Amino acid sequence: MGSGFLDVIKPNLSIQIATLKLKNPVMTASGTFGYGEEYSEFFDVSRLGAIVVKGLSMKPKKGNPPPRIVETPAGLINSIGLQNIGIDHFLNEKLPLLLKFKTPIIVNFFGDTVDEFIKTAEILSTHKGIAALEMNVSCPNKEAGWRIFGTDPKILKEVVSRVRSATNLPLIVKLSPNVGDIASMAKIAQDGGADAVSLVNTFLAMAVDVKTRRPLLANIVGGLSGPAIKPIAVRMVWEVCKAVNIPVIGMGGIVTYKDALEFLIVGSKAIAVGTANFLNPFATIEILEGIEKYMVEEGITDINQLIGSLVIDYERTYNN
Amino acid sequence: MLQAGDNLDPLLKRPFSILDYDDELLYFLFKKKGKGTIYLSRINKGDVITLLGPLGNGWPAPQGEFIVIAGGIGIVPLMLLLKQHRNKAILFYGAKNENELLMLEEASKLVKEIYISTDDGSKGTRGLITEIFNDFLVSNSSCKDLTIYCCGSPPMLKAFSKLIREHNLSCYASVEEYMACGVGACLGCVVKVINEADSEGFHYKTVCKDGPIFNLKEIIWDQVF
Repeated sequence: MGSGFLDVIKPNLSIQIATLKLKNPVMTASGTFGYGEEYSEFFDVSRLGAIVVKGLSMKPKKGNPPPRIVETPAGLINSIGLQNIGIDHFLNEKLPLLLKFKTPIIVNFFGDTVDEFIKTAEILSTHKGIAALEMNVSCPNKEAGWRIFGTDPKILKEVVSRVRSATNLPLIVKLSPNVGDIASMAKIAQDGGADAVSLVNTFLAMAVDVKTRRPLLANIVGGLSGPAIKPIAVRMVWEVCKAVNIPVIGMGGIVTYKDALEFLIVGSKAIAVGTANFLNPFATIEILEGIEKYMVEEGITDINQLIGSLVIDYERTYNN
Repeated sequence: MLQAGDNLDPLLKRPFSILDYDDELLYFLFKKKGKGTIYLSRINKGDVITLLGPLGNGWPAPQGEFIVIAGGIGIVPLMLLLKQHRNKAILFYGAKNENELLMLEEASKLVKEIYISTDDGSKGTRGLITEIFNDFLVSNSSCKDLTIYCCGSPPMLKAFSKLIREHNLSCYASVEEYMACGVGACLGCVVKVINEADSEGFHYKTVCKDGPIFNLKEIIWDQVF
C-alpha cells in the first residue's frame, strides 16, 4: 500500500534457475494449470514465479478414455493420457495470451521418440517469449517397447543430451519418481546438460472397485498425486539436492505454504503446486503469501537463506 | 462444486446442479453416496463450506413446448428449467422406486403433462422411463419435433441416446463424470464426443467447462455399465 516501512521489511523472494530469474519460487506444475487462462479469472497469475503449461507434443493428443481420475485417501490418481492441443495450436493460439502475463512461461513438452523430443524442442526454441523448456521424461518410448524414458538410465542420458544440443533455452528435466535411485537419474540429467531438474512427477498407482472387481480407471493404472505422496516427494527431492549441483524444482503434494517450505528447506530452489490447484484455485497465491509471512516472522530477509537450510543434528545416525 | 470441511480426505469438491435459488440462498439436493456427500450432509446452520461456481454451460432455452426426461436424482438440474418455463413441459420421470422419485410433487405442479415409472411398480407404470417415452412417441408422433431435456445415470443416458438416434430426436443431456478442477484445466472429467473433422471421428470434451450439457446425439458411449 505504498508504506515505506513495509517495503523495507519485505523479504527478497527472487531466485535464479540457470539464466532464468524468477520473482519468487512458486510455480505451477505442468498439467494442473492448463494454459494459464483457466486460473487468470481467479487471481492475477502474473504474481506467480513462473507458469508451467500443460505438456505439449508435436501433434495434438486425444488422451485416454474416461474414467480418467479417481480419488484415494488424500490423493488423486490420474490417467489423462497426455491430452494436449499440439505445439502448432499452442504457439498460434495460447502462447500470445500467456505472454500477456508478466511472469516467465515455461513450456513442458514430451515425445514418443527421441527424434520427436528433439524436433519439438527445436520448434519451441525458435519462438520468442518462451522462458524455459521442461522435458517430461515420464512418457513412454515408442522405440523401446513403450518403456518410460526416464526409468532407463541409457535412454535418459541420450534423450537429455540430444535435446540439450537442440535448444539454447534453459532446460529443465522433469524426472520420473518410478525408479529405484532417483539421485542417480538426476545426475544423469545433469551430465546430459540439464540446467535444472524438477521432481516428482506422479507415482504409478492403481485402484480397484471391490464391488465390480474392475479397475477404477479406464487405463487401469495412473499417476498418484496429492498430499498422500508429499513425504516421499520431500525425501526424493532431498536426495537429489544432495547429489547434483544444478537447481532443483521440488513438487509433490504441496497444498499449504508449510508443505512448500519443507521442499525449500531440503534444498529445492523453486517449488511447483499441482493437485492443490484443483482443491483451491487460489492455492498458489496463498502458498506464496504464506512463505512471505513465514519469512517475515522468522526474520529471513532472503529466500536463498532458507533454501537448503535443513539442520541435521545427529548426522552420523543418518546413513549418508 | 461443493466441499464441507477442510480436511484432505476427500480431497476434491463434488459437482452439483443448483436445484433452486432465492434472494439469499442456493438450494442443493443430493444423495449421500460417499465421503464428500456424507460430510456435506452433516453440516449445521452457520457452518462454512466451500463453493466453486457457477461452472460450465446451461440448458439452451426451450422454444414453446418441450419434453423433459429425468431419472431419479437426475430431476435436480431440470427443476429450474421447469420452473422458468411453467406448464410448457411434458415430463417423463422414472426411478427405482417411489422413494427415489424426488421432488415429484413440486415437479408435477410445473409441467403440462407428467408420466411416471418405477422399476418396481411402486409408483406409476412399472418399467423404464425411456420405454414409457418410446411408447408415447409411437402414439404421439407429432412430439418428435419437440426438444428433449434429459438427465439421469450414465447407463440410462447410454440407452436413451440409442433411442434418440433411432428416432432422430433433438436432445440435450446433462452428464456426469468424476471431476477434479472444475475449470477445464485438468482434463479429468471428459466425455467422448463426435468430431467429424477428426481422423478417428471423435475428441474428448470436459464435462466441467464444455458441459455438463451436451447434445446427446454427439456423445459416444463406449463404457460398459
